[in-house]
Amino acid sequence: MEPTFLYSLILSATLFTIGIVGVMWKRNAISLFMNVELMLNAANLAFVAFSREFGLMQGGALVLFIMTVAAAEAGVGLAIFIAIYRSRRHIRADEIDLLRG
Amino acid sequence: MGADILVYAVLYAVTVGAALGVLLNKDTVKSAMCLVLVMIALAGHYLYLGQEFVFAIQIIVYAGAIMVLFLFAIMLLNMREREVTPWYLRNSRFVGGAFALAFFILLAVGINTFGTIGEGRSPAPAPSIPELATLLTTKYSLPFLLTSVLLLVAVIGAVVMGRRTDPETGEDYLADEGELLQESL
Amino acid sequence: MDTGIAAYVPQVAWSQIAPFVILTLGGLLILALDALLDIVVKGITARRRDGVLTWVTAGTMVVSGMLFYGNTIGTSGRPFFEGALRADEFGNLGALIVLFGALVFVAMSPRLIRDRKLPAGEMYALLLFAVGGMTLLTVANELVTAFVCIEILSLALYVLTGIDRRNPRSGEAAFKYFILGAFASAFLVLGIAFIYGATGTTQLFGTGRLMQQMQVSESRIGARQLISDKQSYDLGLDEILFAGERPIRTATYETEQEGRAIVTKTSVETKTQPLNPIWLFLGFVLVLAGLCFKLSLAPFHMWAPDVYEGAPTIVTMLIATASKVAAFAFLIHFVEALSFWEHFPSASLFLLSSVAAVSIAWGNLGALTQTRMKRMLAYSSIAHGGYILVGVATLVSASVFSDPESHERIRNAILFYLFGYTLMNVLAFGIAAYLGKEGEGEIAAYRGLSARRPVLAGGMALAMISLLGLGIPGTIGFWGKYFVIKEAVSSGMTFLAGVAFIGSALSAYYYLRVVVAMYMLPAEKDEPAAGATMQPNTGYVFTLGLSGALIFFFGILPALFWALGG
Repeated sequence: MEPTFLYSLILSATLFTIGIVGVMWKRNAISLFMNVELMLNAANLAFVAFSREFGLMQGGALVLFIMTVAAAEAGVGLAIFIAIYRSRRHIRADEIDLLRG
Repeated sequence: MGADILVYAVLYAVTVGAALGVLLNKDTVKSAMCLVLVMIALAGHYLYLGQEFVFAIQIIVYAGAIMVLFLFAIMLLNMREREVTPWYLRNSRFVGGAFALAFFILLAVGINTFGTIGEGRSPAPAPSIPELATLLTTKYSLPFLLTSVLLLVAVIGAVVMGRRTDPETGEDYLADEGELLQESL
Repeated sequence: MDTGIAAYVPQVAWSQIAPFVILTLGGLLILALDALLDIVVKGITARRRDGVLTWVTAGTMVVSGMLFYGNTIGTSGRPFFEGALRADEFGNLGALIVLFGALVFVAMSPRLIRDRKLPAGEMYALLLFAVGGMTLLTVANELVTAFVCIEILSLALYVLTGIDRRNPRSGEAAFKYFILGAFASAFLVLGIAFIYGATGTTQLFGTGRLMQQMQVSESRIGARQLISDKQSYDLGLDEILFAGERPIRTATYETEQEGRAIVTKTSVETKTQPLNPIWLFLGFVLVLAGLCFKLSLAPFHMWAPDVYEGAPTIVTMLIATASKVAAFAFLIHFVEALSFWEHFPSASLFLLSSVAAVSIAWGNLGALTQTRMKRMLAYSSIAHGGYILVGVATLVSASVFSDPESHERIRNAILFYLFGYTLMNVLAFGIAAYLGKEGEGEIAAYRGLSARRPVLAGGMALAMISLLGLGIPGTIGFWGKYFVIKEAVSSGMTFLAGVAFIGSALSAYYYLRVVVAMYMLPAEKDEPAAGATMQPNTGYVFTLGLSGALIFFFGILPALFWALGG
């Protein structure tokens, strides 16, 4: 048991939790989405830590996929935010509420 | 061993501090800069774990490309705005905080079950880049191919959502949306 | 430098992956046609061009579906494409249901495109890529492949949800769908990380070679010995979980003095190590949470009503049917692989059952108070997700491993339910979209519909009665619920069966309210002008008729459904 492994996992859990809190607290959609990126980064760290600890090889490859997904999500997401912003002049998540019931 | 712990303490402090900066900063741009710091600190972490490849793409893709995209969106649309309501005035935030705390405890308990793992050995060396390349073209060849479809979908999606005018008629989406918004309010 | 890596050419089973390749190529063809038709054919009208695109999209899907059907017959259930895919009968038939839902979407879309002036090329290309992702998800055998597929279909669906740029509700729905979907995929990724950390593999089912050898030795100890001389990524979750041990590579370093230089020699060896059950369970919980978001199951369902209401109605139909069928197929394969773990039933049954029960309760109670049609259908689909999850929980209680016969029966029951669910929602959303503003808004607008539009009212009544399920035999919804609840009772899950039964009884109120409004209440005074909506195309009418006929047909002869699977 390497102490580095435990540190990495605890750090990953901390970052993931901060990301959850951020998604629940933030009002500005961009800050909110930044916290989602934080969560994905935390998961990446967990992948690398596990991969190294057990002498597995996939870690780096899996991180590559997650980064690609994160980039694609960011591209589409920011385009959606821009579309929303154009018609409303703000992207405050809790004030976008035409749909309710 | 002592030096290890010192490096870890510093990396941990920087990463968590910057992540808290993302969370607590009221200015979107400052939040984004803190996120860049988190990513760079994580890259340092990867380097320390002996994963040079992940270190490189973390810097290039995450801290470089993705964060530039964020800053671009913030600055282009001048969406730099402050969060007005203090967090402690909103009930839902306590619920969110409590949920996250419970989640962290769950994770920490889960992580802490390392007793079953053998003691006193060192993990195998990190894979070299040729090994990674082999994995990407054999075991993970399908997801690797699929990422190209994913990126194509993202490009089409960004074009559809991001454009300002109707490609056929050339009319502005904006004006019409404004009208509809007024109608529905 | 000698890397020790031999040149390697992956073996590609072309006949097996042809359906997906064709869908992707179709998407590229659509993009090319969209750009080139205007230039190549002089003076082509927008309507003609959209027509060509529609036919190309539909043709692609039909060809892909035929290839799928060809693969279904005589499928081996062996992993292929480096273990990333595994086409069993369930997955292939699930993919056919997905393609059916998508074809209905294509048949209904020309009217929407003309009505709201949508960009047909982008829409169909996104649809084809999304369907490619969904069909791959139904046969995915590898967690990362499944994750990338989920992302492909999610990104395409976010954009399709928001594609009606002139309608602010559409954009808002896309916004909410995106935020919660991205949040959910972070959970999914962390879950995959934990499962990977606990077992060292991301592949669900192994090649089966090891399982055969295990049957010879008939013991977990024998399996352990076999595990120890394998690389972890050659193994499937099923094999590692069965053995209860995982391979682990460790290195020993020796430094030697060679002349004046110090040389480090590394020797790597593979050993086995017991699994960490808590990591494994944590991984399962996180993946389940991520999938619950995508499947709009309680407690992660909050996006569903808003997104269902805001999205263009036929996109809502696609989200409610095709994407759900695909995600359920993956969930079932995932749970099946995990059920080789001896502690899995005891660890997960409570969790799966409570998600099912809460979804049924929340969906039905939420639907009671809804006054808008699409919101009501959204809550109804949350409840239906709960009923299907009752089937999944039953599946866990009778695992492939211990009771293969009843496992097969429950799987068939779930597949039948998914097919029926798709047909009913196609009919309900299709008619709502047919009626235009009148049908997509308040339920009160359905008053007196039987006098104005008798055929449509009849179809909607059929959809509602079929969605209600219990009580009136002769619809596919009845048999779907009957089979699932019967299997749950015979596996001893009486509590869940009771919850499903009570939930169905509750749902009578809101489903029959629509029927009562159409047949017994007089029309509201300000009746909307007839012909306010555009006349639908033939394909639209045909698919509505077909789904209505199928609901009846399989309602009377449910056993014929399995005859189709061969």
